[in-house]
Amino acid sequence: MTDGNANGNQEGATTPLMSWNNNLKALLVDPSPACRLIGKAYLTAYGVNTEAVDNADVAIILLNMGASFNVILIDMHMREMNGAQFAMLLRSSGVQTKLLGMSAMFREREKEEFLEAGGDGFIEKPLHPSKFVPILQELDSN
Amino acid sequence: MDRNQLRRQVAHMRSSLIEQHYLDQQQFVQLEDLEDDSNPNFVEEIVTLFYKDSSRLFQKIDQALHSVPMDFARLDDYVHQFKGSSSSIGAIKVKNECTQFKEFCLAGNAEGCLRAFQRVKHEHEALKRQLETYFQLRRQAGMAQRS
Repeated sequence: MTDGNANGNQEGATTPLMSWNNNLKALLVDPSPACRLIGKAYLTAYGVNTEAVDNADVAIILLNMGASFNVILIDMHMREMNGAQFAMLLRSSGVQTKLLGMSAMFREREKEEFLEAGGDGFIEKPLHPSKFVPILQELDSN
Repeated sequence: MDRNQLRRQVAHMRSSLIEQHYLDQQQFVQLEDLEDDSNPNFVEEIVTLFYKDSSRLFQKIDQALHSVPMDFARLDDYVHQFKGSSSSIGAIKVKNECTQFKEFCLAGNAEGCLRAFQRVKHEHEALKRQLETYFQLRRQAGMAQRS
């Protein structure tokens, strides 16, 4: 299930809080509806075109259909698989996109497993601009 | 009551909720800042989704607590998810009770888990009552704005 434009559409929307050199696109994968709405609203407010889905399977379908993103944010506790398994699946399918794991509590081992599986970074929830803006800036400079 | 008085009441209640640690200033106020004319009820929408989340997870937690033997790994997973959504809306007290609950899950302490769940539900209910009043005030302030 994908979320509709919960925070209004891109055209005619409020001026983004940040501007980017590139047209940044994000995919947010989180089983929590509240977290999806918040994450999408934040990223959209900061000028990132964001798609939010509630499970790994839908994310994989989107990617297989050819959807491309600059960054994929993944909750570590999805129903079908954990973040590390998802990262491994994407990397073995040749997906090069930057992968960021999100978790309600920082756990060293969970982070290590995710990074070893091909993840690029790890954010402790709650999702907040102070956590994702530096990562987006780095992406935008490449 | 005129618009300005209502707005002051809203601001006062927001400060009070933050001072009493029901809500995290940084998180909650930032969410309110995301509201605009095209989406004036954004925070209330999020909180409504949060209640749906909590309702779903509370049912699952209840089932796991009554499984024999108690399924601590599954419990930990559900509490972890709930902690994530609580922290996302800035619900500090609820989030802190989730942290305590997780410790009992990790320790395999059945009695502790049962007590912790009661505390989580208590804090969740307390927050829900406060937010109902808060959003009602905001709506009244909004209605006064249109008149």
